[in-house]
Formats: sequence, structure tokens, C-alpha cells
Amino acid sequence: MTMPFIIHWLTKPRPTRLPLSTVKFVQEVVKQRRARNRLRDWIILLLRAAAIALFAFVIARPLSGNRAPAAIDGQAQTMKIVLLDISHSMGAVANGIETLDRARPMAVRHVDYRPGTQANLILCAATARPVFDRPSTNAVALVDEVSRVKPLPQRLQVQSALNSAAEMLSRVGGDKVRRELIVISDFQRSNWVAADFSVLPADTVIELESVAPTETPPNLAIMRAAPQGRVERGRPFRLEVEIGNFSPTPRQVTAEVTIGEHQFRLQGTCTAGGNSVLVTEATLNTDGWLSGEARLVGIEDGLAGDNRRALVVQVHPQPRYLMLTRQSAEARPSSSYFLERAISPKLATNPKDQQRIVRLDPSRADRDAITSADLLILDHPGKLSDDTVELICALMLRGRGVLYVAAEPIDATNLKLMAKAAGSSLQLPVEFSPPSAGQVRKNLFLTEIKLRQMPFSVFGEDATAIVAPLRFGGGLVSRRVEGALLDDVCATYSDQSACLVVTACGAGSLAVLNTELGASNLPASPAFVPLMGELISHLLGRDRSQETISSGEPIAVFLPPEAVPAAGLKIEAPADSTIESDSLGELHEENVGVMWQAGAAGSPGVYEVRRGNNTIYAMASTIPAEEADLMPLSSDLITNRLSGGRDVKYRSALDTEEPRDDFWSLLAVICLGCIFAEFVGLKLFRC
Amino acid sequence: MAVQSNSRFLDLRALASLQHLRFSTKRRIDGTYSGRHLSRQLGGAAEFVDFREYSPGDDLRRLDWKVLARTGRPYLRMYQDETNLGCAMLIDASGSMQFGGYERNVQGRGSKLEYAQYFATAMSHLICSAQDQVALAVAADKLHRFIGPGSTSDHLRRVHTLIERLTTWPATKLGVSLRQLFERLSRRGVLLILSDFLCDDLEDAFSAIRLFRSRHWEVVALHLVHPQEERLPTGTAFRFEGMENDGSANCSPAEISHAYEERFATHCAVVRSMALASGCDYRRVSTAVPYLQTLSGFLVERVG
Repeated sequence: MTMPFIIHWLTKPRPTRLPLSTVKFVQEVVKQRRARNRLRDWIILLLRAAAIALFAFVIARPLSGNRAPAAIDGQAQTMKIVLLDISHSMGAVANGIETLDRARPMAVRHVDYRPGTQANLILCAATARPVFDRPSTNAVALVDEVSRVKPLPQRLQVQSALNSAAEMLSRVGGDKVRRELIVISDFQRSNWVAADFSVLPADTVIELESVAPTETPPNLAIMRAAPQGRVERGRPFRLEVEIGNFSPTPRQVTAEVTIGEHQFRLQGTCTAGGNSVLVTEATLNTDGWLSGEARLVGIEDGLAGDNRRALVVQVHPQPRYLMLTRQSAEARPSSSYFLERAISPKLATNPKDQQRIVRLDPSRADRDAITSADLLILDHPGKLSDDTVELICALMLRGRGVLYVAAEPIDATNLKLMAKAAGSSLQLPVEFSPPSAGQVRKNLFLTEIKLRQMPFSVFGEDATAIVAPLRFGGGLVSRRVEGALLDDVCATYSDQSACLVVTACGAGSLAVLNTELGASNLPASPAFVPLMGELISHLLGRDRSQETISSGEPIAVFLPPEAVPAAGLKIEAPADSTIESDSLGELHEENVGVMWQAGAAGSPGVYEVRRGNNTIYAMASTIPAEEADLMPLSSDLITNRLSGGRDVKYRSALDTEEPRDDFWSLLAVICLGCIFAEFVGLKLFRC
Repeated sequence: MAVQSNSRFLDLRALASLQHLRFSTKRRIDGTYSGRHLSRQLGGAAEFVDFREYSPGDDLRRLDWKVLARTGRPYLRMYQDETNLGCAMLIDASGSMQFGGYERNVQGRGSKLEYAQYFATAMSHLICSAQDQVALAVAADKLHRFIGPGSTSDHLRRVHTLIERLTTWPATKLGVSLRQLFERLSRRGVLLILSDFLCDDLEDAFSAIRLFRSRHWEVVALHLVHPQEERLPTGTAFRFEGMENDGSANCSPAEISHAYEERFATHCAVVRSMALASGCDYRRVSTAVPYLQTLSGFLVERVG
């Protein structure tokens, strides 16, 4: 603080000696102004002292915001965790530089050795992988790890990474240890929007260093490539390729899809900033699992890895239906007869259709017959045995579809048994029970219909007009289950009981049509055949080939029923994959089938489960679609909304300037204001 | 009259253009010899002016006998006597007269004193050339030098020598000096004061001047002002040191220049008003104007 006084003394003007005949006039004037000059000098001295004090304070800025680490018995005082994003988006190239290459020097700067600091590096993608179990002073190993790391074709699981860092920071030190978390990432909007920093210890200093390019590079990506619905041999199907265009301009794109030996070409225009679906009709004449790939042709964009996507198609033979009913095939009209005719309208004339639909009495149905069917239809089945129920549920869990026409009171019992056998995998939204004695269920009409949902969506805008004349009778009363998914109730009767319920059960589906078809006018309605067709198509169409797994995510899937037993099964990785066989996961045989379980899906490609040369199951590992959107989250959103009230410092690596700090700017302005006030003061006193 | 003077302040070639001008006064004065100036005395053989009735004691030689014969009453003939001019020059030789500006150059060059020396030398030369008498007084804290009236070449040489050898004294008491001068001068004439009037006893000085005026002296006050006295120099800070042992002052001229200029202008106005109130002929003379130009204007104005 003596500096202002020294400066004031040093800057005091040194007078030049001059003889003057009128010096007494000067003395008089100076004497008159002596009091003013003294006041001026004091004011100027104070202003100058304030300006210099503020200037010193501003200069001390880098130190004032950081708490000095306290010495604790010679041990390290600062624990620093560096989260380095190595997700797929970090491989984006802008101006010829990969984003991860921008991040490396920043990470090295943070993990490099400093006295009193222990650091650790967590490489984050689908999982968070710390280099050491706890912060270490081995900076050489950390720097070496930073230099070797490459982007992984995985999504960044932000919360997993923050949890890992929080766990590590909580473990170290006591109250006097300074904890720092450095996050180096491109802060993709799609990943970071749900970040929660509250899991970190309260005293953690959080610094976010963005390496996102100033201008987001345009990117095109294949978001999805899969057949629409169930693919049957020799039957045309819709092949869809969804392309995301993350650029400000629409693009004309061409996608080539290879499935087995077949190749298809799709063309279309992708709207700017949105997803577009390219569709073509394809036919496959080979049964079984076919692997393939969809790729964009002639596209150069910011992220090349997502311009191709593996896909799997399971080509099914013609479906086989098993109808478990006690009704006679000759009983016409009957509920089962109506269902037969709805499933195959040409049943009477086409002998092949007669082979496809097998009618069995549940009491005589054996395991092979049930297992070989693609779709089970239960109509007036009577009381089902426990074995049959368990088998049906097991098949459902493995992907089979079941259509249950609930017409008799005993059907309520069967459904309860099925729900019990399936356990938590089957959560019916309603609970069926027999109507009370004397309750007559007839002339019921539909009140609540999910018009935009299967199967009523097949009628489009005319759905209301088509279903209005329908009248139903028979069936069971129902009561809604608390907490169940009401979207599974596709239609409701006028007495608030459920008409049609379609719910998932493991890999399969269960549809319950709650009516006595013989007492309803539905079979006589033109809506009956398309309605049942859509419903059966849905039940058959839960195609396993549409299942994909994001690379790096845990795998836990039930294999198809034919995978039993697990012995002899082998998991095959893609030909170009370098993944070790131990990392492909394990196959467990459980009650409901064989489960494939792995800690993390491998690199993109098709993974097959084989028995000998036969492919039992195939699954495509893909790059998560979220990684294709390279738009970063705004810094304000991170520091204000997501920080949860914590002091989160955000800095872009591309900014040459220090982050804005209004407080220091204010001090600098006050400092300038003091100097300006001094100048004005001098001017005023000289007037 | 052939003047034999070696004064460095005397430039005869420059003064040649002013030889036709004479220093004159419209007042009647007392002179020693007959001259071209109106004398306060009536009589002699000069120009007839008027008649006056005889009173006992009058000189009977001036009685107009013809008028007595015609009218029977005695009348005297009145004539305007002409005499020579006696001009006393008082030069202020105080330290303040040494001021020659802020530039550091040879001591005394361009100073008010040097200007006064040039002016007084030329003036005395012109006065003596017109057969008038000139006296010289050097004033500071007292009357330091005095040469009585005279018009001879020797006298003029003495005057020029004294002017040339003038030095300054570090004090000014103009009133005292004027009173001492007053005691030494017996005849009425013209008192020419060459001064910057930078003295503490300004009132006393003009009180002394009023003594001269009461004796019917014509007093001419030439107020010498150096142009650099009117405003302070530009610069950050100066220590101004007085030239008459009157201390020093530290200041930043930018802060006080306006007040100083006002103060100096007030001083000049006070000198002027006091001079005029005392019946003096006041002229403010800037040393920036060549002394010959000043002298020429001064003489022309007096001739009228």
C-alpha cells in the first residue's frame, strides 16, 4: 500500500527554476489557491491509491479464485480427476483435426506432474474406465495413456462417468484436501443435457473444457436400417433406412444396403436438421439369419464412422399357427371358425393353408406341437394345464406371439395362471375376472379406441366410422391394475371393461381379445379380417432381427427357443473385429431359455451365435445414433441449469481469451474510473 | 551641437530620422535660458500678449507711455517670455527591471532596463539637440545617482555614461527616490519616469509624483511592460524566483495562469488609474515594440 504514496511522490512535478519580476503576483495567486490545491492533492492521492490497489487486486486475480492447497503431513493436497471423453463423436474431424487430438494436450496439461497433486484419468464412453484405482502421482503413465487413447464407437454415458469420478473423489482425503474435476469433452447436446453434477462432493472444483469446434461440422448418419415387420421367405417386405442429416442444408443421399448376397440401393432427399426414412421393397428367398450392412455412398462429412451400419435380417419360413381350442372344426359358425377364416381367408380352397393352421385340443397338445408353432391362438381352450401354461409363457418370453380370445369364465383363470407363470415379464394392464352371476354382457360397443395404434391404425381416418356399428357380447369383466401401462389397452367397451389388450411378454407378445365372437357382429363386419390380420402380423412381427445393441452397452438377451440347449453354442465376432473371444460374453441356460450376457457389446458389426454352421441368433452392434448429432450444449445451460447451483467453470479450448468474469471486469472498470476521476479532478481544480 | 558620445545605446543613424522632432510641452515652464518653450514668466522682449493696469512696484520700463498720453492712465505692456526646457529623466534601476523574459540568454539582454537605457539615451540626445536641458536620476531603494540639468556636450556625455553603466539594486522604493529627486530639482520642467512600477509602495510613489504636480511639473509616466510578464510560461511546474529578494513560488502555471493574468492586468490598470488621477501623462510601453517606434510616437503625440 506504500506504492501509491511512492508513486505520488515520484510523480510529483520537479519545478524548473525561472526568474520572474512579478513573482509577488504568483505568490498571491498561489496563496489564494493553496487550500484548494491541498484538497486536490489529497483527492488525487486517494484516487491514485484506490486505482493502484484495485489494479493490484485485478492482477492477483489468478490467485484469488483458487484456494491454496493446505499442507498435510507432506502428503498430496490436491486430488484431480480428469474425465476424458473418448466417445464416437470425439472422432469428428473439423478443419482436418480430430476432436480428440484437440483434447489430448489439454488432458496432458491437467494430468502432468505437479508437486502436491495426485491425478487420475477416467476414459469415458459407454463405460467409465479409470487408469488407476485412485489418484496417483504417476503422471508418466497417465500422459502415455492420453497419447494412446482413440475414440471408441460408443455413446458417452455421462452420468456413469460422473458417478465414477464422484466415487473416486469421495474416497480420497479429508476436509482439507482440494478436489478437482476436469471434464474434457465436446459436450454433445444429446449426451450432456441430462448431466447431474450433484453426485460429486460438495467442495469439488468443477472445470469443463470444451473441445467442440466453433462451427459444428455437418454430419450425415445412418440412424437405423431394418426391415419393416416380419420378413418371410419369398414375400416382399419394406426395407427402411433412416438417415439423420445434422447439417443446415438438405442433402440428396444414396444408401446401399447389402443383405447376404443381395444388394439394394435407396435414394432420397434428407431434410436439413432432421431424420428422413428411405424405403425400398425387397424380397429374400433364403431362410435364416442374414447379416449385412447399410452405407451412405459418396458422403464426406464430419464423422465418417456413422456412415455405415451393420444390420441383421431373420428370414422366416411361412408362419405356422396352432389353435388350441375345444371347439370342433365342424362346428360352424363358431368362434374358432371365424378366427381360422380371418387368418387365412383362402383356407377352404388352398391346401397349403390347411397345413399352416393346426387345430388341437389343449388336453392333447404335446410339447413339440406347441413349440413348432409360430403363433399360438387360444380360443375356448378350457382349463389349461400348468405345464401347458408354463410352456406357452416360456415360448412367449422367447419371442412367440399368443392370441387369446377370452370368452369363457375359465379364461380369466388361465390368464391369471399365465401372468403368474411369466412373472414380472408379463404385466397385464387389466385384471380379467368372470362376470358376476346374472350379469349379461351384450350389445357392448367400443368407447375408447387407440386409433393411432395397432391394430386400429390400419383403418386410418375411417376407423371411427368402421368400428361404430360393432356390437360385442360375452367375454370377461376387467379391472384396471394400478401402475400398469394403460397404452396396452387398445380398445375399451362401453362398460369400461377392456376389449383388446396387447402387451409384451419377454421377447414375445400376448394379445387378449375379450369377446365371444359368436355373440358379436364383428366376424360379420368387413373390419374383422383386416383387424385380425394386423393383430396377427403384429404378434408374429416382433422380429428379433430388428434388435440392435449399441456398441459398448451391456448385452442381456434371450436367444430363440431353438438355442436350447446351450451346450455347443458359440459366439462369433465379425471377421474384421479384433475383440477377444473372452469379451464376447457368456451363454447361460435358464428356465426360460438361453441368455446371452456380456459386459459390453463389441465394435460395430454382426455377432452371431452358432451351433456348428447354423446361425441360431444374430445381433448387430451399432454406433449409437445419439453420437451423430455433433451440436454441443450451450455453455450457459451447463453452468446455470445443469450445475445444480455449483460453481462450474466452462471454457472452450478454441477461445483464446480467458472466460468472461464480470467481477474482475467490474474491478478493472472501477480502476479506470478512478484514473478518469483523477483526470477530471485535475481539470476541475485548474479551472 | 556636435555630440561626442561613445555609448553603445546611442545609434545616431537611427536617430537621424527623428532629428526633426522636438520634445515639447504645452505647459508653461521655468527655464534657465531663452528657448522655444513658453516660459511661465511674462516680460522680456518676446511676443506681446496683453495690457495690464499699472500697480505700484511694477517695472516702469514696461510702462506704455503712448497709452498713458492718450488716456491719462498708466498701463503696462505684457510680453510672453520663451525659455528652454528642463527635462528630468528618472530611470527605475530596481531588480525587476532586469527581467528580460524566460529564455536563458545573456544577462540583461532584452530586459526592461536595457529598453529604458536605449530610450533614455535617445531621448536625452534629442533634448540636448534642441538646446534644452536634461537631468538624469537613477532610482531604486533610494535615489542612487543624479546628474543635474544641463545641455552641454560634456553634460550629455556624462548622462550617457551613467546610463550605459547602470546597474540594478535589489529593492524598489520609488516614493523615497522621487522625494529625494524633488528636493534636488529647483526649476519646473518635465519629469519623465521610466519604470515598471513593480513596487510595494505604489501609493507612496504616486504621492511623491503628486508633489511634482503641485509644483506644476509635467510628469510623464512610461510604464514599461515586458510581454512575457503578461502571461506565465507553459510547462508542468516552475519555481519562480523573485528578482528583488522577494522570495520564490512553486506552481504549475497551467493551474494559475488565468488568475495570474487577471492579477497582472489589475496591476496595470491600477498604475494607469493612479497615474491619470495624479495628473500624469501615462503611457504603457511594451518592450516588444522597438524603442525608436515608441519614441517617435511619443514625440509626435506631444507635438500634437
